[in-house]
Amino acid sequence: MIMESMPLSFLSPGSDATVMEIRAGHGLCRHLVSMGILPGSRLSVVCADRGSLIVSVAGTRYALSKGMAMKILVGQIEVKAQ
Amino acid sequence: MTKKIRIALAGNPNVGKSTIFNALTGSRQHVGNWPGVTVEKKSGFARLGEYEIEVIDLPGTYSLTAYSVDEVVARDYIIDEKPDVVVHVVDATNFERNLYLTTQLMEFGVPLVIALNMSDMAEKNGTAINRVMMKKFFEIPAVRTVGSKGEGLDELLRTAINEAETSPHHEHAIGYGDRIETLISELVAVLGNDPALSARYPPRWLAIRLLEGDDNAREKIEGSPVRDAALAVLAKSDPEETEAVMADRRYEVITALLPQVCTTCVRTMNSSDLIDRVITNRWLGIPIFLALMWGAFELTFAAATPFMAAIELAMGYCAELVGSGMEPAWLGSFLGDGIIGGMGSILIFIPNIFILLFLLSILEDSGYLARAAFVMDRLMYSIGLPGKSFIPMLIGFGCNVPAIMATRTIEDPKDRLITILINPFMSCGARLPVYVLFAGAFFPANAGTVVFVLYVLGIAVAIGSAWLFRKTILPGKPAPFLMEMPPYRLPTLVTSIMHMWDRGSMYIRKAGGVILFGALIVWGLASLPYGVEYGSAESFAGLIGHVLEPLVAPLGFDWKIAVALLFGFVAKEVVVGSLGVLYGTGDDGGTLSSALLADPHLGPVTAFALMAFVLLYLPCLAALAVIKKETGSWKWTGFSVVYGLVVAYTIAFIIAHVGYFVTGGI
Amino acid sequence: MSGILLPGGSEMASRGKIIFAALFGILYLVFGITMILSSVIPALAEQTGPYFIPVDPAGGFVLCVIGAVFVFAYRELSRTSGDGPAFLYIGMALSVIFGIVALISLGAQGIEIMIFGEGEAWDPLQLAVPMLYLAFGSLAGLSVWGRAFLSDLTGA
Repeated sequence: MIMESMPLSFLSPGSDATVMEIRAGHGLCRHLVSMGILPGSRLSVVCADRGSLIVSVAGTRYALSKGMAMKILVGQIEVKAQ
Repeated sequence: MTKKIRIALAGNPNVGKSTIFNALTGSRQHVGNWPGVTVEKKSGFARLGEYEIEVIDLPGTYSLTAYSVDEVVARDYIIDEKPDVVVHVVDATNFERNLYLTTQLMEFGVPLVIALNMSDMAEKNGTAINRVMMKKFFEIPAVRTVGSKGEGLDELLRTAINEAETSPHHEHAIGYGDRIETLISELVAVLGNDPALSARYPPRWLAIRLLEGDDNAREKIEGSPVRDAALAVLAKSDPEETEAVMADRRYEVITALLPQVCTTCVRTMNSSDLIDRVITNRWLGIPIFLALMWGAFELTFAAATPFMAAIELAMGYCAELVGSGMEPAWLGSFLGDGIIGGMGSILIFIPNIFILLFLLSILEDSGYLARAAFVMDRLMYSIGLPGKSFIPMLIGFGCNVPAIMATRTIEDPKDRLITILINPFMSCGARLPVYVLFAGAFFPANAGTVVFVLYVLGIAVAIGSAWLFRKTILPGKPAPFLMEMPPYRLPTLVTSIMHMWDRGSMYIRKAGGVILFGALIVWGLASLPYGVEYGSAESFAGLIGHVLEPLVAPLGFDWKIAVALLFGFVAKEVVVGSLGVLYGTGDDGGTLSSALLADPHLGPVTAFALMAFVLLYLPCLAALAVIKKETGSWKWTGFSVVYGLVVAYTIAFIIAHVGYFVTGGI
Repeated sequence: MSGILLPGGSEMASRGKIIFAALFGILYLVFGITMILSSVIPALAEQTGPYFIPVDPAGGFVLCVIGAVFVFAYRELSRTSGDGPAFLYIGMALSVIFGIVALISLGAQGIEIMIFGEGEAWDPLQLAVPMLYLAFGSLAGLSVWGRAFLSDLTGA
């Protein structure tokens, strides 16, 4: 089940999430879309130190600053307890 | 009878497109510029049997909307120049991401071939891409290539030629759903009423772009008689919403087809990610970076020294051979002091520049430099620069010319401008001879430390200037950091050498001509009027120096230094050569040192002030030429000159007077 | 986390790794700090000189960085979090890389003295600096443990 959305910058390494919304200007949105970051796409967090992140989307790694990560709202995918 | 075919290479950044281009064209390539923009254009020729193939390497882009100049250049080329076939280079290890561009390329209606590059890495990861299925679903042939090993290239060319010659123009279409398809059909009908427009741009492609709200496409229909009708159709939909729907649809297609075409496109944490956990660690990230930088500089200086010594010996030998005993004497001087002396200035630290560029290339090709930019981003942001500025600044330590050209990857124009303006403060290889000479002479025990301090001074001024510009003339915040992190890989020697050569040869080409020319002018001014003693106060050079002397006197410089600084405008290397001429000792470091030490006007403080001045005063002629080209504006070029002079004068002044006060001497 | 591919990991190997990390962490830090301090305290320099520890603040800094990576490795390995081996491998890789830097740097100096130095003799013992000799330990470590991890990176 998907939880409520929060900025990507708050996720910890190893989490998977689904993009819910992107709060950015037209050009930036389009750019992100072509990289695979758009509402509905799934990403996982590889590294998360001090707000800046490296995420994995469709097999590719991207580094984002905190500022960028704050614009991407995601819903964390809850892992079922074993 | 040779047949001619034109191929364009398109693809995402970091997929090995350039490697394939280089492998296909070898030395038969030409690097220029796309007209009107600062994007690099690489074109070349390949041969297969009776075919003469022109290959154009389009800029790497994630998509073909008009987000950046690169994208506009790439798509305009495909639309306007209509190459016979487009080869879409895809990174097989990142297959899914690359497909977005594929869906867009399909809409151009141009024959398409996919090159599945880096297949060896993909196979190692266990990824299996089914080429037969790809042909079935996408109707595009795919060829397995490994650009770095030259595998699959012949087959690629044959397939491309085959597509160009035989395939009917499919317009592989993605259906966008009823509502949008209706709009598309309406638009296509409208656009069809302008035959010129339809002949130039594939109607469906143009319709789709217009619906997406693409400004560049809007411009294309401006002059057309169907413009108003088209706008009427467009008014029926909201571009942002339409664009979102279309993007969704593309990804739907990709997601649906992917499992059929690639059975094992897996996503797992791999070695690369684990390395990143260490390299970008919040405590270790910057120290590791600093350590690697130290390593790079240490290697550069150490490895370059034997080469430099060898070149110096060779130059000296040549100069002697030519200069002595040649009639007429002025010819001997021209060849010996002028040409060989001038060449010496260029050649002497080519090893230095090239080795540093080589090491930077290795760091870049291994994937590390992207992480370094990421690690440094926070720091860079706090001085008002984007993380991406970081790599051009590093290159600036080798030579400012390729460094300023490397700023092209920075999209935001203000960010880019600031990076360009502060780049000349990064102490390039050309200033080293000045430091070596003066630090070696006046601070024999601490020469290394003095040079280090100068480098730090340069960095400090760069940072200060960036902060200053942000507060005053170019306010705003830097663009947030977003950069692809390519997987770590062991760089191949050959690719790194090619990158080194790409950048280093800029120095040789641009600067070489300029420096030699400048050195000859120096020689000319020092030898005339005819019969005057070479480099004395009576020569034109000397006269100019005396005119300038009052300007630099407050800094403690005399007329000889004034002249040397003036000639240093051409290229900073020339400062040492000029001083050699004016002190009557030629370039020979040993005796020039002693001559400088013997000069009563010069002491450690003045020497340090002079080195600081040379570090800061203005970009050399070659760098200025590049600044003008990259900014496209005389205003900013002029600004860098004036700003540099002001900063240099102020700091040298402070150093000189504080120094005199503290030490009581010069 | 989904499917982390981590090579190696029998009990013995892990114990060995923890000890290696701790040992080399301490060695690098000690040598590094010494090299930095001896550049400001001449008395210290005299003490350590004979032990093949040169006065070199910049080199000392580098050694401290490598030491820090090993210390992190030790910490993560003892916590058995997934990152431990990564820190260890990077530590060893950095150690070897800088070992090579030291080799080339000092070697080039040697070559210059021999060819251009007009008869000055060059003592090969100049090569014996911590940055070089400590790297051999890492070389051994990498050949025992690092094969699988590194093979992911070669090619293309």
